[in-house]
Amino acid sequence: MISLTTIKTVSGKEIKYLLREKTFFLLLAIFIIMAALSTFIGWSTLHTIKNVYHAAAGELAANHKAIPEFPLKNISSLGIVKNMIIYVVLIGSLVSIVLGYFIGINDRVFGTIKLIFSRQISKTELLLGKIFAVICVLLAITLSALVISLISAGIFHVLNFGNSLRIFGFYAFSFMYLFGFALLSLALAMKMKSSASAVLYALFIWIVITFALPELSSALYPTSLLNPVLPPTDILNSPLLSYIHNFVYPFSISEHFKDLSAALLGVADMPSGQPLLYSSGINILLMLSWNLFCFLASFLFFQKIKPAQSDLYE
Amino acid sequence: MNKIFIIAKKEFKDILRSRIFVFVLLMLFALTIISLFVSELVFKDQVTQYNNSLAILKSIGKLPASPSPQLFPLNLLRGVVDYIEIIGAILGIFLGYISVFKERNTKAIKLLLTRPIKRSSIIYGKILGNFSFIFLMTASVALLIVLTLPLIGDAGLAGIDFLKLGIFALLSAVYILIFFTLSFVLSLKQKNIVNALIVSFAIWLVFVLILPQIGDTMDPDNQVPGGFFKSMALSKDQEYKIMGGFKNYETIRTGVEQISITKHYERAIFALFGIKTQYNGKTLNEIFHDKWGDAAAVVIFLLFGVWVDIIFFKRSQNILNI
Repeated sequence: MISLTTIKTVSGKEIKYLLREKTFFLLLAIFIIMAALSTFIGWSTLHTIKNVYHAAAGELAANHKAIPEFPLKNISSLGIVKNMIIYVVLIGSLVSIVLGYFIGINDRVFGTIKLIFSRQISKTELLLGKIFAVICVLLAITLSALVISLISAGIFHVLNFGNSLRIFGFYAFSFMYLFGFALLSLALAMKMKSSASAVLYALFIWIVITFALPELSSALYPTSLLNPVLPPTDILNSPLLSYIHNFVYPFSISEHFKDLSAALLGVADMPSGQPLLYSSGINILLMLSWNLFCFLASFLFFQKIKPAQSDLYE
Repeated sequence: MNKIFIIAKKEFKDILRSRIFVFVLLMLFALTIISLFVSELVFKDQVTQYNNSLAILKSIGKLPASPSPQLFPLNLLRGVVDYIEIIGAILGIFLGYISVFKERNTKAIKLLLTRPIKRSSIIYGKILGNFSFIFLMTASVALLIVLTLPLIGDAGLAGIDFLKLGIFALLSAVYILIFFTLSFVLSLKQKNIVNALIVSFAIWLVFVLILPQIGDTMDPDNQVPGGFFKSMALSKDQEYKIMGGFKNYETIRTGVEQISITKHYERAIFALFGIKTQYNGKTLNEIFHDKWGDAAAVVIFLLFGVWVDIIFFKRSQNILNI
C-alpha cells in the first residue's frame, strides 16, 4: 500500500535539499532572465526588420525596381515570443537535468539511503516522492516563466484572451517536454556509479535529442536548428534523406516539441521543401509517450538499486 | 622541465584510463561521421536538382542563370565544427573537473607537494598533459575526416586541405583547452566539486549556445527562410548600404557575439574551411589577413585562462583540504 503522507514527506525533504543548492539557482536564474529577455529580443528584432524593409524599399524604388511585399506581413502577433521555444529546448532542458540530478543524487552523496530504508518505506514510495518533488519544482519554474511571458507580452501590447491561452498551452507542453529530461536525469543520478558520469550521460541524451536527431531528421546543421526561423531544406528531393527522416523523425522529440509550440504560438513558418510533418494531435501523443518512457525508465532503474551499495564516496 | 613532462605524462595516462573520455571520444567520432554523411547527401541532392533544372532549361533552349554547385570538400565540415564547439567544450569541462577531482580523491597532491616541486610546475604539467590529450583527440577527428571524406563524399583532398585540417586540429585543441582552464579553476574554488561542474556548464551554456543564438536571432537576414535580403532581391552592396543605417543595432548584435569565444572560433574555422563561401579558393595568407583577430582572440582567452589557473592553483588551499 502506497502512503501519500510518506510521498509528501519525501518530496518535502527533497525540495528542502534542493533549495540549498546555489548552483541550481544559477542555472534557473539564466532561464528566468532569458524568459524575461526573449520577448524584448523578439520585439526589437521585428521592429528593426520593419525599418530595414522600409530602407530596402526605398533603395529598390530609387533603382526603379519592383518592391516585394514585406516578407513577415503574415507573422503572428506572438512572433515576438517565439524565442522562448529555443530557450526551453536549450536552457529549460538543462535546468531540468540539473533538477533531476540533485533530487536523484542527494541521498547517495549524504549516505542517507540506508537510513531511509531502515524505516517503513518502499522503493516505490521513495521514487514517487522524488518524482513529486520534481513535478512541484518544475511546475513552479514553468509557472514563473509563464507569468513573465504574459507580462512581457502585455508590455508589448500583444496580450489578449486568445494569445494568453496560446502562451498557457505552450508552457503546458514545455512542462511535458522538460519533465522527461528531469525524470531521465533523476534515473541516471540514482543509478550511475559516479556523479560525473550521471551528469555526462544525461548531457549525452540531451545532445542526441537536441542536435543529433534533428540533424538526421531535417539535414540541417546542429546550430542552425537553434535559429527560430529554419533555413530551407530539400530533403524531400533525396530518397535517402527522406528515408532517414521517416525513420528518425518519430523519435526526434525536440522537433515534436518545437513543431507543437510553433503551431500553438501561430509562428509555424515551414520553409519550402520541408517534409510533411505530423499533426499536432500526433505530436501531443508522442510527447506523452516521451513522458511515459522516461517514467518507466526511472522506475526500472530505481528497482535495480541496492540500498546497501548505493552510497557515493566522492 | 623534466618534472613538468613527468606530470604531463601521468595526467595523459590517467585520462586514457578513464572510460568517460573514451565515451566522449566515440560520441564525437560518431557525430562527425553522421554530420559528414548528411552534408554529403545534401550536396548530392543539390547537384541532382541542378542537373534536372539544367535539362529542363536546355529542352526549352535556355541557359542556366546560376553556375553548377561546386564541391569544396571542407565545406562539408560545418556540422563537425558545430559538434566540436558543443561536445569539445563539454570534454574540456570534464577534463578540468577530473584533473582536480582525482587529486582530491586520491590525495596524491599532498604527497606530490612534499617533493621538491613547484606548484607552477604541477599546473604546467597538468595543462601540458591535457593539451596533449585534447590535441590527440582533435587530430584523430581530422584524421577521421581525411579517411572518410573520400569514402562518404567522393571528395579528394588537395595538399592545402591537409594543412587546413592541421590548423583546425590545433585551433580546436586551443578552444577546448579554454574550457579545461575554466572548469579547473572552478573545481579548485568550489568546496563541493560537482558544483564546479554545474557552474562550468552554466557558463558553457551562456557562451557556447545562448550568446551566439541571440546574435543569430537578432540578425535581420535570418528572419526569413533563405535570407531577408535575398527575398528582397538585393545585392550584397545594397545590403551593406542599408545596414549602414542600423549601426547601433548591429553594434549591439555583433557585440553580443564578440563576447562569445565560440563565435570567434567559429568565424576563424568557417573562413578556413570556406564554409563562409567568400573564402573558397582564397590562400591561407588571405584568410589569415581577414581572420587573424578571431584566431588571436581564441589564443588570448586561453592565455588568460592559464594565467588564472596558475594564480589560483598557487594560492588554493582547497586542494589540500581533503
